Amino acid sequence: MDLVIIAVIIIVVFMFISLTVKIVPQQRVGVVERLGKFHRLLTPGLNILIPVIDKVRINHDLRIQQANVPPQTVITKDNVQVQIDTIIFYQVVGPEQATYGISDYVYGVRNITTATMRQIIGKMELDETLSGREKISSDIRIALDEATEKWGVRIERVEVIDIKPPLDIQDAMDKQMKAERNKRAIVLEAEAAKQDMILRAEGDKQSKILKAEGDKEARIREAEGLRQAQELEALGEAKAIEAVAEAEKARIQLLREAGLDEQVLAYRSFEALTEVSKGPANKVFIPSNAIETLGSIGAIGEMFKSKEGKK
Amino acid sequence: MEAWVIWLIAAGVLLVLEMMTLTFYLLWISIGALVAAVVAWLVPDALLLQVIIGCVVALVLTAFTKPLARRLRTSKGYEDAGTELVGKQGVVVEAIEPGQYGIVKIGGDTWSATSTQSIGKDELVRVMKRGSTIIEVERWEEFI
Repeated sequence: MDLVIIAVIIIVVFMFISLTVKIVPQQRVGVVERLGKFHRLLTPGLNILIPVIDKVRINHDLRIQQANVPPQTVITKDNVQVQIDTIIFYQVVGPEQATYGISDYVYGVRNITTATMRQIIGKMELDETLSGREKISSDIRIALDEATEKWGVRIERVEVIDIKPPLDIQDAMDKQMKAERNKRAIVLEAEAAKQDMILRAEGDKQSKILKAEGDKEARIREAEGLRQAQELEALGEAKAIEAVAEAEKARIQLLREAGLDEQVLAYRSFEALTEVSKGPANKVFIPSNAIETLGSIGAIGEMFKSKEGKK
Repeated sequence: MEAWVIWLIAAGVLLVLEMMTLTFYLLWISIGALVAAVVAWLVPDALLLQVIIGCVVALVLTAFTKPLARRLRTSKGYEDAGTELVGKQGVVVEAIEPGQYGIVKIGGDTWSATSTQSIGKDELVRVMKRGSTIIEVERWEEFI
């Protein structure tokens, strides 16, 4: 019997003492209720509570905490459904409000962030959302602060970890990128071809011009050569004609000096006639004065014969 | 086995547990057990007396924790960055109009801020008061 009493006393005292002394670690805070009413906060360090009437309702962690929001489907301004993955950094700043202002502040923070995010992304185009971290953060700030003021929770940051556009949109983006690059390549090629043609044409033009100039020069030189040669030839011919005429003149003079008379002429013409008759033609046209001469030929022949007879 | 030996063993065990768990109150109970051991050595038969004296000692020591706690409380601890916001300088990121919230950047964190004046973007402000998420600011120059 004694032992039972002793055991009971020991247990009661033990429990009593254990509920009286509370050590709260740094950056944690306890909310104490005295008979159901909020009494005070347990600050870090050694705390004394009165058991039975004081009760620690909840312990809050005052450090910045992180909550991952599961991927949400959000529709952007240009009607693209994107999967958005966010992370929230929040901190309990008012332990009383976090206890009495809202039933489950973690859940509340998640929901308000998701809803606000949806609204902000809904005002942005897809390309903006992919690169507008700063804008999202600043836009979300006021909306969240207004909501969480009464909760004693401050949402430090909301970071977008990942934005996944749907597959077909991603494909389209890839295609767009490829097309851009292809376009650039084609344009460059065309430019190169154009330059190539221009350069070739330039070369062609220059070479033709040079050739033509060369031809012209050559022709001019040739013509000059020809002219000079002809001049020389003409000179030579003139000289030759002069010389011939001189010779003729000399011959005539010599003939004159030799005493050219009727008989010689007649003889000569007769000789010429014989030459003529030797020709292949059947008909021989003899000038009328020549006939007269022919008539006199017989006489001449006679004369010669008689002369010979005399000898 | 003598009663005082049991008390002594209990005191030792409690002390070791205290060192391991750092709950502080086990120390008082262990001291109470030690006192009970002394009483048991003096009066070996009165078991109930030993228990009561031990418990009273433990309770009294616990009551004395309060002044000790007060002395420990004044000692320096870690200071949360958020608590020391008042009097700090910040830069306005989004203009503040009276009755509307603007945004102020203080040391890498952005805060929603209200003010009685209208303060334009990129102006320097001083933190006057801090709510849980919204701070009250004034123009910086007015203090100098």
